[in-house]
Amino acid sequence: MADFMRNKTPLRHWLIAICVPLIITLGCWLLDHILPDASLVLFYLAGVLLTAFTTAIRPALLAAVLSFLAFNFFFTTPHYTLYILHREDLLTASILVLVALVTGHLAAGLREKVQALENSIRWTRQQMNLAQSLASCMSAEELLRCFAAHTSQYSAGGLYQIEPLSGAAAIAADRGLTVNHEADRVTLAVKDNAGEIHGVSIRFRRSQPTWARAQLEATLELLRLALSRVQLIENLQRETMHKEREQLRSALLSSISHDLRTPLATMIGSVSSLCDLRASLNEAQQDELLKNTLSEARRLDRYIQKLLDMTKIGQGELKLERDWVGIDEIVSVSIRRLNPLLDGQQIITELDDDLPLLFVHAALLEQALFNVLENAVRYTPAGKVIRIHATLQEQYLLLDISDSGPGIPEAQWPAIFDMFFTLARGDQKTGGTGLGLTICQGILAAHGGSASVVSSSAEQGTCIRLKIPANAPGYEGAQA
Amino acid sequence: MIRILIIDDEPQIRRFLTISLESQGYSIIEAETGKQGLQQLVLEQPDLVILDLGLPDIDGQQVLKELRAFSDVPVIVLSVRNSEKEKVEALDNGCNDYVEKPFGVKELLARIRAALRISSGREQPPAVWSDGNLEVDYLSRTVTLQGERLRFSPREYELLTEMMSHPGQILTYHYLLQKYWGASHLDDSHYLRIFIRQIRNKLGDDPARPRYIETEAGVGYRFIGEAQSGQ
Repeated sequence: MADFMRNKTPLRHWLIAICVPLIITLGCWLLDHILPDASLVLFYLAGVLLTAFTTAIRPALLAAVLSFLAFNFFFTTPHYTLYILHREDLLTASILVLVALVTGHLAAGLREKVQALENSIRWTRQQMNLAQSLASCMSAEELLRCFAAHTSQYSAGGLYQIEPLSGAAAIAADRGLTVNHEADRVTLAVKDNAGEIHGVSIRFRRSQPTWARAQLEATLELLRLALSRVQLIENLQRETMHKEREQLRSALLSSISHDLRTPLATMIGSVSSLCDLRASLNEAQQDELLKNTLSEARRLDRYIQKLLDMTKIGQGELKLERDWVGIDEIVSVSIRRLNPLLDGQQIITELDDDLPLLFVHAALLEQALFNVLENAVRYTPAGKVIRIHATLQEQYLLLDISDSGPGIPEAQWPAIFDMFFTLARGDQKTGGTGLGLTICQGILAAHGGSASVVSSSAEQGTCIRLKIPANAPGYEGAQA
Repeated sequence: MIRILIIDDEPQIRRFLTISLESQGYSIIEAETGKQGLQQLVLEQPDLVILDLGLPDIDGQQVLKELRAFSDVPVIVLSVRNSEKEKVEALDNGCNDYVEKPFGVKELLARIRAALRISSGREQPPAVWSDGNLEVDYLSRTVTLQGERLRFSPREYELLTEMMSHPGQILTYHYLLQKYWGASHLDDSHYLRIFIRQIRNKLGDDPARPRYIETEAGVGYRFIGEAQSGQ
């Protein structure tokens, strides 16, 4: 990266400066009989011009002196001496030197400009490459790695150094991104995610001109910009996460207060009616109020149970107690639990033959299936069908539950597994807690499977697929 | 027979309300959604509406606004939403009373009676209001407690009689401030608090166990004294 700063004339230039007058002298010697001496000078002039253009000013001067000497020696009278007889020859000599000086100077300037241009293009390309690869980095560590790889590619001399910082520099760096300028080096302090502070520094050579230092520092500036970008992104992510957590918490609170209070409202209302208005109620009405209270108490119990399940899953306290169990058993137990909730809906099960045994936590998987079925019952009108279909596909057992409900808009398919999704639709349209599918997905995920919406439309209803690994990880072959 | 329209999406709530209210001699019309409720209101012309705020189709507050555009039927709002903001909004939107779920049926019946009493206009302020303890004479503008005449400033007297003319009904801070202090003092609810405290002191009313003026925290005040008949 730094060789353009060397200002030494290469050997090649001196060779050219010697060879050109030599060759011209040879040519002129051959043409001496045809052309007058005055014309021969023009050849030398051309030679000096050429040399000046291709080399620098000092070789050009050498060529001019050599040309004059050769011309004087071979072609002016008296021949084969350096003795100058005519005044014109002095003129020739001074013109040759003048031409060498002027063109040499021009050529050198031009060459310097071209070289500077090439250097600047190369520099820009390097900066662009660096900027590009820095732009794709997502963390401070990545940035440092990327920067080190790039700079080692371009500067072999160890111009850039990355080393852990300590002491005052580290404390200063802790407060933000700082660039520390010293006489012979510039240091940028970088804090990575682990909290460790690295100093990225450039060492300058004493001979380096200011513009070269500025270029090197520009590289550091690129790194600094990339770092602030990464930090901004990280801050933004933290902020977003914080906001989402807050939203979830307030949704949770309002949902809990709502879902606990609604059944309580019925229970308190019914029981207070019984207490206060008993005299004016007939037996059937009293019965109904009691039944009403009981069913709401059960609903409250179900809700609290789900809430407890959810917190268990959410806190990762849930331990899977796996055992071999057939999917038919799980399906039949879930349906048995579902029977009291049925209101004229019909459940059809279609289980493929030769389904393998599953190595799962039976009670949990049953709960997952029950939650989906409970949902299906809620949205399926009386007299319509709920279909359960199990099939094996590659390493997974697919359990599809299709209802005859109103369907879900496709944009909301993933959202139905979110906590308290039902919140979005009025107070309590369906008696759902908005927890069932979240729990279901949590259970499936704990087993290495997943729950998703396969299809949903107003005509066909909704089909939810539970994907259960048929071979539990680490237990392949244990089945035999 | 007095007819009550219940707009609530919870079947269990509707069921127990229907049973209890019918046993008290009211006739019940049920609606499950806001739209249905508005329709029933137009078709059936009930004497009172019980409205749940959390409806599946339209928010209850919106139903209240639409309903008020064409009807001044008394409305009692029922809701699990218990924030003051929600209550004030409902009262501003024109509901007559607000009952928080869960509630006892006695409380609801009392509120229903109060709301019906106001709307029927039977409660023409008599010349003298008395419950045996407190006596307010509207003609001479005097307040007497246990036979002893109390000194009331004109504003204190107006505040008290304003609340007495809406028995059982919440009067919001907003309403009272607007009426007695003007629109520029809507945020100065401490004015009101000072006056109410003075009135309570004079009436010997304990704010923790009020006999006459009940505070609905963050919302307003309600006069809960019951006049003795025959006075």
